[in-house]
Amino acid sequence: MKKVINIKESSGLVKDGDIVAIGGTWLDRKPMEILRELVRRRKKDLELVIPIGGIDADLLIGARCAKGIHFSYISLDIYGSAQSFRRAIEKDEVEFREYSSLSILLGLQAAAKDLPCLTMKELLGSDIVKYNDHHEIVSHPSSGEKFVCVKKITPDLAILHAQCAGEDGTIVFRSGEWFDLEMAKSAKRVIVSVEEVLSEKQLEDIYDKSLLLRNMVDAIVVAPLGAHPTSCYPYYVADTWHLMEYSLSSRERETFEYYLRKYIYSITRNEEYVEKIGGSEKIRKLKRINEFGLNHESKRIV
Amino acid sequence: MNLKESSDVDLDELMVVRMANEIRKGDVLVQGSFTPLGMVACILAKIKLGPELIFCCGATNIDTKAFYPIFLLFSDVIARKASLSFQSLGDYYSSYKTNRIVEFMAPAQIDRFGNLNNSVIGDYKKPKVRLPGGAGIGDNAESVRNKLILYNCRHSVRSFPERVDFVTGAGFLSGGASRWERGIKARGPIRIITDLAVLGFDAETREMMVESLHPGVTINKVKESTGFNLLFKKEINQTELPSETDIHLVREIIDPRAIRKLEFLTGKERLEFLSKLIKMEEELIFKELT
Repeated sequence: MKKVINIKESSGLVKDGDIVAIGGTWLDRKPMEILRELVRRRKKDLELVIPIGGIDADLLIGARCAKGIHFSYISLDIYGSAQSFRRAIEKDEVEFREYSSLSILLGLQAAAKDLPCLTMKELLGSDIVKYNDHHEIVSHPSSGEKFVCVKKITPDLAILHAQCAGEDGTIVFRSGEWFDLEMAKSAKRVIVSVEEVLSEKQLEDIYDKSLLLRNMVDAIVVAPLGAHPTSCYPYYVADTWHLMEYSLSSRERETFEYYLRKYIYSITRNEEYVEKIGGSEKIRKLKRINEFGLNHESKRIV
Repeated sequence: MNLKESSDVDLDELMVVRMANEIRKGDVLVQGSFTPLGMVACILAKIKLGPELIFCCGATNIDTKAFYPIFLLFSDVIARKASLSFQSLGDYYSSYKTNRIVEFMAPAQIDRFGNLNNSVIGDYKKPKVRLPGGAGIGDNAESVRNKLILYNCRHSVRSFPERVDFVTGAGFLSGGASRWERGIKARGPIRIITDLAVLGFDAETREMMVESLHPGVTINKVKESTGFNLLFKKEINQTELPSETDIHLVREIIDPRAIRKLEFLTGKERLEFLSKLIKMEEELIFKELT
């Protein structure tokens, strides 16, 4: 497979000022190892497309890699608000365009279909339409019915994290693909990090999967634990303890800088990162909790 | 049999059972972001209404069949494992119009006419507080078949202002027929369940109206806690007390560690309770594994 590159090479595909769509949703399947590399390489002026995010958006904005963001929801959810994201908007340090989940999806789908826009019936009464100029209310030329028209979003690059890749470069998802398929179809180039590469026979044995065709993917990074501290079913759960630490660190600029130094700037090899987040003991813990969840049948209540 | 004494039920239990009672056969349940009260209500409804009720846990899991006591540490694992299949959000939104979706949502602000704000407190461009944003709130609020049921665990003047600072999701806009004049076809918010009362909307003016008060809550208390003049239904009853069975299901079976109580807490208290919950789950998991 010629497409496989290493993590350092992945950051070379990202240019300052690029429009970058980031896969996954909430705190699930975020391509965190690639994003940490972008932070380490001090990428600048990125225009992020993160429909629903948390630590991904917060990290890139806090580390001053982003000049703008298209989003519908950014939060650390149970671990609190995304503080760097919040601070940056409150202090007018980052440009932003707010969408609903459906409208940002349509923006990507419009680009994938090579259309200038796509329409929806929702948001007619929402202020999102007033403040984000990628939305416009239009009337149907014959019926007069009103729609919201959402302008296309064409990312220069989509960065995704999927469960695995086939030896031929096919990307395999084993849980909800969120906005990832639309991102891959709309972006000019696509990088996917995966937990592992599997043989054709191994792929056949996975019955519950969906695919991203290999011709849509430009580069693959093999990155076990590459979504940490977010989750990657069925490999590991989100690292609650690390997310708590992140949430506390990101409250103040000073402690956030310390976090960046400790977990990103000072790291030269991924083994060092793994050591800092708690080493093999932590990984075992995340995998065991995951196993516990997978084999939970006896606790079924309905 | 319903309880006779309100002292036997906690507020969160009263709310969650009342929420579950909004669900009917034929609804399609969806839960997205971290909303444990919504999750508990959905599981309770699933137990009560039976297997034909469709639940898409986390929106991208299709037809979640099995339910377990709720956990923080691996909720996504069991949701995926217990569902027949999964889908992308593109697929989810393409079946969005045919399903009668119920997704319990808890936006930061709800105003007199049921407009929803989860975007900012203060000026939009220079906000005092930037909130996460709406995710699907704006879509749900205007999608034709959706049943819009909302909740709020801290009913106050701040969360119920006269006018929201930003309309993330449309309620009845400025009341009366204004929602329909804007071209919106969908029905609009139906009910709001708070820690003080159950509220709905007047059929003509579309102003928010108190339908029932929780045990021990006075008319004055709910008035003081709301940033506008509330309407009151002609006969204000006490919110119906849950049955012993429902309380048992919520308290002992669905959510034995009371994760739902997180939604009532803020700041240091919340963080302490969260840490405690994580520790409890960790101990339980590793005790069973050894």
